[in-house]
Amino acid sequence: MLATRTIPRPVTSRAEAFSALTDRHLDGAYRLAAVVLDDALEAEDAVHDAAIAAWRSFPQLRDPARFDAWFSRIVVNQCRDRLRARRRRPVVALITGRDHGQDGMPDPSERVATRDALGRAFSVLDPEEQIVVAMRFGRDLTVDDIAERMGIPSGTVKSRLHHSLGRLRTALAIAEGSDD
Amino acid sequence: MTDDRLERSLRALLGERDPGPAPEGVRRLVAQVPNEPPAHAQRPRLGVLAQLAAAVVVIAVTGGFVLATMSGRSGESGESTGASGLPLRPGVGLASPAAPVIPIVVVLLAGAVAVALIVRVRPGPARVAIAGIAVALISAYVSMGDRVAFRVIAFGAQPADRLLASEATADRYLVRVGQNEPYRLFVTIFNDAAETVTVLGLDPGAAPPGPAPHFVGLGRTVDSLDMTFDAAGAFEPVGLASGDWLSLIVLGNAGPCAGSNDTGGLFVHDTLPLVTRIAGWERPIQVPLDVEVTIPVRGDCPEWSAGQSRIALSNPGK
Repeated sequence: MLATRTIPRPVTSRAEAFSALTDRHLDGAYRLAAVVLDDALEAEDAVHDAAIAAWRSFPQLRDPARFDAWFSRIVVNQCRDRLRARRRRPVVALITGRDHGQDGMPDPSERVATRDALGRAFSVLDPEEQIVVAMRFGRDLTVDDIAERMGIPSGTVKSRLHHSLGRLRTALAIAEGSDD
Repeated sequence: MTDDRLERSLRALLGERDPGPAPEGVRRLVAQVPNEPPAHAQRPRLGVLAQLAAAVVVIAVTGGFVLATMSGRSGESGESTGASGLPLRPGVGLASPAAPVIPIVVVLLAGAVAVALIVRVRPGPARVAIAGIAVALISAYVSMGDRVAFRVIAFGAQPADRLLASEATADRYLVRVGQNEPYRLFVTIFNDAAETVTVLGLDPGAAPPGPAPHFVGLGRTVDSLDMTFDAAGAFEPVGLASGDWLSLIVLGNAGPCAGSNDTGGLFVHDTLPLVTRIAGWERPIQVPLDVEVTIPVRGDCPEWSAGQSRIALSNPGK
């Protein structure tokens, strides 16, 4: 009796390779877009648009091992465009006042006020700074990973982080009425 | 606020934004991307700079074709009187710049293409860069022909005495002619420009007012290596490629005030007025002769009027 088994068909076509790679990295790209944009629906659109742009440029990708960083850069570009467009038509975010428990804040009302001030301060950062901060503290990417995904030197990432944190700290200090 | 507290607050803020894994809907949409029609998903898109370059090439090729077609028909520009077969005589080889209709059309077309491209680019450094490149290209085209492309590499005057240059003065040719007598200049011009320049003829509009000596006709040598007055033939508009040269014979008329007396002075030619065409632009230019052609004139000539004195009040003999 002959034993048969199914041998996985090797991925050969460009479309199959693209689908496999995007499927593998889609979650990370989507979460990155959502953290940067603070809007899950817009993140879906951004990821979809990024996938279309990536598919157009896919023949130029020489090293599939670099797909994650390459695709992330396209997603970041999409997010940057959307943040810039958003700055031309300001959106005021609603504060939900959700309580997140053990985060070291003195009391719930102050936590909400702090988060409100931080959210507002964050939203007025430049799009480039928002992206850097979101990747660093929202997705826990290293400086080098951020630099690769944004296509800029690591030193630029560090300076943007430093500048952004300084602005956020100042904004929070003003909101809290203290100088610390 | 301490750095730790700020980082904690940021992580909390951004953590609220993390929706988790991608929804099935977006996963399906992305999976469909490779199957979308090529016109939408696979159409190769030129970069903006490539589009600009392509537009410039198309305009340059189209404009060049039109201008080359125009250049091939001599004598059609302005009122050039350079007709083949005519000898060097007054009125031959004169030209007036034509209205720059074709160049203006090319500029407007290029401007329209540039604006269309700029509008398509989102505001930012790329748009500024493209606008800058477009303005630079169009400005470069508009200014073509503004500077004098020629320098004189050989010169002679007849009838004349040549006074050699000193440290302070250029070579001077003293043309001794009487009233209304003709004189001739032999001028070999060299094209220093990177582009081809067409010499359309002598610019009659540059003649000094009144009875001063002035140029009245233009001829050229048939063989550019034959640098003698005897080689003069009829003038025809001719295109000079970069690094090429052309020998011209300029016919002058001394005017009614030529001659010397105690109250007179010298009339000086130090430039040669020509009409040229570069990339469709027809412009009058003044080619520096790098020598002084001096013609004695009488100061008591009744035809002189105030303000007509390019006369150097010096003694012609010195």
